Amino acid sequence: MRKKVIVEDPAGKFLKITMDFNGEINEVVITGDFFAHPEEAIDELQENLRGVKADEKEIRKVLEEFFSREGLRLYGISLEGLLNGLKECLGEEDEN
Amino acid sequence: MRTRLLQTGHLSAATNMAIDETVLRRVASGEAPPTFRLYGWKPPAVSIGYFQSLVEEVDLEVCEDRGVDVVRRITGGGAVFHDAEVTYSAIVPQNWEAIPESIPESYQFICEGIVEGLKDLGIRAHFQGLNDIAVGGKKISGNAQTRRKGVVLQHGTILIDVDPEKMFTLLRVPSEKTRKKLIKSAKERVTSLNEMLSKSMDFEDVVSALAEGFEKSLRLEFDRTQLTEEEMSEADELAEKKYATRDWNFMR
Repeated sequence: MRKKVIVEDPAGKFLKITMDFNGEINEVVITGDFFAHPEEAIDELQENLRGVKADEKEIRKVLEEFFSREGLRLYGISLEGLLNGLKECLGEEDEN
Repeated sequence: MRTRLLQTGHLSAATNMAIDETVLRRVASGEAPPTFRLYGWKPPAVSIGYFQSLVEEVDLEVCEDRGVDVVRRITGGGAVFHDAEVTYSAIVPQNWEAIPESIPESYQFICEGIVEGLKDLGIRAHFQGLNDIAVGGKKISGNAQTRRKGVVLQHGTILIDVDPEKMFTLLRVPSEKTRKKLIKSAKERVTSLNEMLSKSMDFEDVVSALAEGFEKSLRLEFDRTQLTEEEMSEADELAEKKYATRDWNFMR
């Protein structure tokens, strides 16, 4: 299943996230007008999410590990925003 | 080591971005001195941020019809329509002069040169975090930074004129209603030198004011030079092999 969402990150920018998953994540693409230093970190995060169980708890674990990375500087994008977007891809958001 | 200033005139999108990266590489290797550059875009171009998707952000058919270039930057941030503006880049070692280590502070450190240049033109602008310069609450300059190999590359635009209608014709938006809203909002939030000064500003005059603004705020005197032949040929090759390719521009 392939899902695409646009979420407003509490850090200020709109994130456009595409997730292809089927029990586990096949691919995640994170796009938007945010800043990340070093830039390659976002590519690595996408790579780290590949193969992870399509489940909020597992995804959160990967994100938390990513955000504890030394020297990472993010502007306009946050753990909360990313998690919201990825959760929305899984269809676990409150539909009401 | 002295800092040089390059004035490279109006070039294509791929060449402009390739020159910035070539200079970054050479500053990192010590082959080039700390460098500031002032330039423009011909043809006009849309650049997108490193993390954006070209097909999602830009109406490629309209751009092609109107002869507008498109290119992905190595810096993050949003889509920019480069037409009547002066663009600058500052490519300096992370420990150059008094440049702060912190990213937000280093944005401001470099942007103060633009504020100084604008003052000389009669505009009282101020830095507005993270990466804008505003006058009377309206944005007149947007900036973006990357740090690679111990080098800070910051580039940004100073608007001579602004045309929100044209800009949002080139960018993809979800609906016509949204387009109208975005145009209205840009007219309220973005200004230009021409609008502020009620006259038509000359590219070269703005370039001179900005060059002097940087010198004054950074307390240095530039060596006014040109790209070396080696740099130019490296940049031409990089333009062709990276910035003009589908692989790079359609990466996301």
